[in-house]
Amino acid sequence: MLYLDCCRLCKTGPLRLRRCGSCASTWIVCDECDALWTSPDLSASPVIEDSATLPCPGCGASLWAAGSSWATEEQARAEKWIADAIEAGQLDLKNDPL
Amino acid sequence: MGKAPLPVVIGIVVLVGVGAWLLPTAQDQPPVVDRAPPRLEAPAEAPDAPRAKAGGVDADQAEGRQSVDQLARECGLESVGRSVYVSPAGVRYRRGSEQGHRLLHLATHTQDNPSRPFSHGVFAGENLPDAVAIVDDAYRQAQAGKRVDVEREGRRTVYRVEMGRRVGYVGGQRGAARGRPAARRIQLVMEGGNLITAYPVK
Repeated sequence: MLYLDCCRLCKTGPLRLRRCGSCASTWIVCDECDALWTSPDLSASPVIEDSATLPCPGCGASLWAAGSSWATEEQARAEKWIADAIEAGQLDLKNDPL
Repeated sequence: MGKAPLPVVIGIVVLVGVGAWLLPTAQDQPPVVDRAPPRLEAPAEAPDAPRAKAGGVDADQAEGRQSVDQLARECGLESVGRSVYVSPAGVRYRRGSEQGHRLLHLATHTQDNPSRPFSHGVFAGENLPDAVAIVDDAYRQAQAGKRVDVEREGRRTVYRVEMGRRVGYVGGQRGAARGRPAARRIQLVMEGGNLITAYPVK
């Protein structure tokens, strides 16, 4: 599974790329504490809204609903702002070690 | 064998041709009428059919809620609303996380996950009731302001509570690299009284 970095808020969870099952947009989400970033600036404050459903910033559908999933590398690169950030060296995609 | 006379042959050909023309073709067949009586009961569900919905609630969700209900009872939590449980110390466990419920997420910290790229705290006892009890101890201590570091960001509060005893160990990749050290602190990530996540840290 892909990850980017360690969450600066909980200092434990890997930041991963969550793809919305409704609108197919992709966001950076900590898989431990559900903090969410909508830009590659991970020093910025995360978006923390309804922690029960984790609404997609694009369409409001739950990012935990069936159909949403952790993005593959291909899906991640299909999201322009993520692809641009990877290209610019702002984000670095890594795979879980095992 | 002698040859048939020409008029006989012509007669046979004409009879076969007329017979073929008179036979009904498939298109001429009347439509097949299903004379079976109308079904009064719902058809049997195909094995891969979507799960039935009852009152707008997916059957899988209902089953999931039932299992969370059972876990909550085993942990001594009180049900205070739909899928909302509260512990004796006042920690609320609600829906959320990839696992679907905060209690199920907490359960991921009752065993190591060596594939986690960073730390993965594992509660002593390695079972959910013990984990819930340790979280309660940590929350009481945090509320009392005893040996606790507090960090706030928006609606989130992160407590790091020194427990004064071993409360688990550090697993994951970082924990493995350090020989799974004992953890004496609990980190609580809360939104008010709602638990987001909790785990032992060094």
